[in-house]
Amino acid sequence: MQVITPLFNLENFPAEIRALVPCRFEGRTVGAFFLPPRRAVTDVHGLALRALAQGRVLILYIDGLGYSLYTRARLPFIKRTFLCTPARTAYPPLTQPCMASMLTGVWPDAHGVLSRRHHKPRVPSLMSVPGAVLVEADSELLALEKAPVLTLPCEGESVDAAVLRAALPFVCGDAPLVIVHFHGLDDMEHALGDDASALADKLTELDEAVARLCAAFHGTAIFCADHGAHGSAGSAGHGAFDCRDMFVPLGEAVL
Amino acid sequence: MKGLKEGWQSLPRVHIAARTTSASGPAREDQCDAISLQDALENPAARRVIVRGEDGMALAIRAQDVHDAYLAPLPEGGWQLFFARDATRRRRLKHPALFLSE
Repeated sequence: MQVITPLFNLENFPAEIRALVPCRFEGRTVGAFFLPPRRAVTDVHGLALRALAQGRVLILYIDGLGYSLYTRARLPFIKRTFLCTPARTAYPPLTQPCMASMLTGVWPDAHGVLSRRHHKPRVPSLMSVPGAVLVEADSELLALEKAPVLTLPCEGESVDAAVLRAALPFVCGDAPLVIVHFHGLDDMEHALGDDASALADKLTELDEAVARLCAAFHGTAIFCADHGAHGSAGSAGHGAFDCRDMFVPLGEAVL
Repeated sequence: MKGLKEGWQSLPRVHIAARTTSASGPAREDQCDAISLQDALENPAARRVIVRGEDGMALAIRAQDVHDAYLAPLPEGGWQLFFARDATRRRRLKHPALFLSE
């Protein structure tokens, strides 16, 4: 049985250890966490609702930024602003189930989005908040209460630059909840793996994009990701019970 | 499918490789005979095409990227929209139902 911590896969780990927390999916144990972190991706939902009682909320969602990569990446603004700690994500660590867990506050067995083939959570999501806006790249990934704002890059513009450009007016406006989903890192990881040096330019772009959005916003900002990735260039992806896929950074800041 | 020409399935097909990233492991490459979306669209796109699947999911395509998009039959029946030079899984759409040119 695979046993993982936020930064390590533990091989040949004795199954009798009581500090193990099993991860179950569709009735079977897919692995276990050893001393798992307190936080989970499902916390985003509760954090957002509580913060909405005080003012506006901005959720900065970086697709594919696992906690392992986060610790190795150069993200000066994000790291000093959000002070992220590791959080467990949903199994399987794929965008649809994990994003649904983030936005509904429950795990896949409750929201019903079990794979890439499922799109509609069967419980309410944060998009049921009146006036909530979700800014996406070019594809709609979940069937939520409200359609997302889809963005297309102009000539020479990256997919994340297009998302930033589309998100800024909403962040500057009066929408109570703005969720900004950056997808470019995940796209690159499938080709390059989770090598922080190979992804350096993209990570810098994301750090600067988050800084621009935070500079334009007053309220509570939540920084999170859905899953990580593992593997090397040409043979990389996510979806396994692997420490690099299963833990993500989670933090918040009052701006 | 709304937004495509009458009889679009009879349009000439191109033999093409469709690459897809996998959850873990190398990208998969499938050879198929596909129909160019540019040839199949009822109305050319000035700015973008919004494609909506039977499951309601939407995919936006820039007008300048339409020439790179293809429709290929699925082994289990139905069609899939994909991009010839893009293995990004989220930019594939199975069972497209509506093509809206803007």
